[in-house]
Amino acid sequence: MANYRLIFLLFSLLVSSFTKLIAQDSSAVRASEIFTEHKGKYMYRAHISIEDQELTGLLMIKKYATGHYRLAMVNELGLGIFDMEFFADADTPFVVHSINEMLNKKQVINILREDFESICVNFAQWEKVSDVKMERRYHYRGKRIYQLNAIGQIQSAELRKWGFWRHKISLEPTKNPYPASLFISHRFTSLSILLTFVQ
Amino acid sequence: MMSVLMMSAFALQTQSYTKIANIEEIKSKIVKKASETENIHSDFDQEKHMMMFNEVIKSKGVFYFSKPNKLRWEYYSPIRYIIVLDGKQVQIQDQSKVKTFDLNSNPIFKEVNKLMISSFNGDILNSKDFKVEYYQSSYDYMAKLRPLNSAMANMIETIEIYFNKTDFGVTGLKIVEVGNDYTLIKFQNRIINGKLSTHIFTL
Repeated sequence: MANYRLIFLLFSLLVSSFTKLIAQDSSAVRASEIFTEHKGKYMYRAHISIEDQELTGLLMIKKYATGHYRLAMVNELGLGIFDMEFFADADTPFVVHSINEMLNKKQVINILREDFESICVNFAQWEKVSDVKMERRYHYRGKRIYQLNAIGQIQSAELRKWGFWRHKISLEPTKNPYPASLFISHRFTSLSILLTFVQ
Repeated sequence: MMSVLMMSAFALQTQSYTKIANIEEIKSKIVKKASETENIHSDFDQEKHMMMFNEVIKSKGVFYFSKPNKLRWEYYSPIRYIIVLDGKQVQIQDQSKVKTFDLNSNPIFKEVNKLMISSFNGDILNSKDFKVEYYQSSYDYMAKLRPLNSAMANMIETIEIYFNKTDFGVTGLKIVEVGNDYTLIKFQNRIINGKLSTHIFTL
C-alpha cells in the first residue's frame, strides 16, 4: 500500500512539473513570432538579387488577426513586382495574386514561397522547443529551426532539407514588435533578399 | 527659353473627362512642346493605391529629366533615396550607400525608364506598342494608352498621361496595373529648360 502511495506521489509531482514546463513554453512561444503583434502593417525597403538581376523597391507586409499574411512588393516608382498571401493553416496553400514576368518561374516562386513562409510563422504551430548549448530553438513545420536570443526574440532561422540548410535568415530584433532588418541567403541558388524597416 | 509654371496637378483625380474627336491639333502641340523641352525640374507627389492595404502609400520628392535619356528621382519621404537612370545604368542611393546596376539587370526599371522618357519626349504618343485615346477636362488633356504587347499588357492595364492645357507639358502620370492597383505621379512647380548641372545625374 505504501508503495502505491509513493508511486502516486511521484506521479503527481511529475504531472505538476510537466504542466509548469508546458505553460512556460507556451508563453515563450506566443511572444516569439517574427512579427509579434496580433495584426499589423509593416513597410520594408527590399532588395532582391537573383542570378544577374536586381530588384529593388518596397515590401509591404500585412498581418491579419486571423494569423495569415499578405506580402506585396512594388518598385520605387510604384509598379507591382509580386503580391502573395500565406495562411496560418498549414493545409491551405499560399496564393500568388500577381507576379512580374521576370519572377514568374516555378522554381523562383517556390523559393520565394519557402522564404516568406519562414517569415510568416504562426505561434500556434510550433512543434517542438529545444535547448541546444544554452540556446533556445523552436522547430516549426518539420524543417524550420528558429534560434532565440536571451530575451526570447527570434534572431535567426534556417530551413533544412535532407540534412542541408537551404536558406538562412538573419534578423535584427528591436524592442518593437517587428525586426529592423532581415537578410535571407540561400545555399543552392544565387538569390538573396535584404529587407530594411521603413515604417 | 525658360518657363516657370506653378500650376498644380492636384485636380487630376477629380476632373471629368470627355473624349476628343479631333486629336491632330492637340497631338501636334503636345509633340511640339516635347520636342522643345530639353530638360525638366519639378517637385512630385507619388501615390501608390494598393487595394489589399486599403490605403494609399504616399511619397514625395524632386524629379529631373534631361534629353535624351537622363532621369533623377529624389525621394524625401517616406524615406530618403535617389534613383538616377541614364539609359544604360541605374544608380540608387539609399541613405549613404550607392548601388549601381546595369539597366538590363533590372527589367522593371528598364521598362519604367522607357515609359517615362517616351512620355516626356512625346514618342509614346506615336508608339506602336500602345493604342492611344485622347480626353480633356476643363483643366487638362489626357492621353490614355493601352498596351498592345502582351508582356506589358499582363502587367499594365492603362497609362494615363496628363498635359497642361496652356503649355502642353506633362503634369501627371497614372499607371493602372492589372488588378486595379495604380500609381499616380503629380508634377508641380515645373521648371522647363532651366539650368541643370550635369552632376545631378551622377551619384
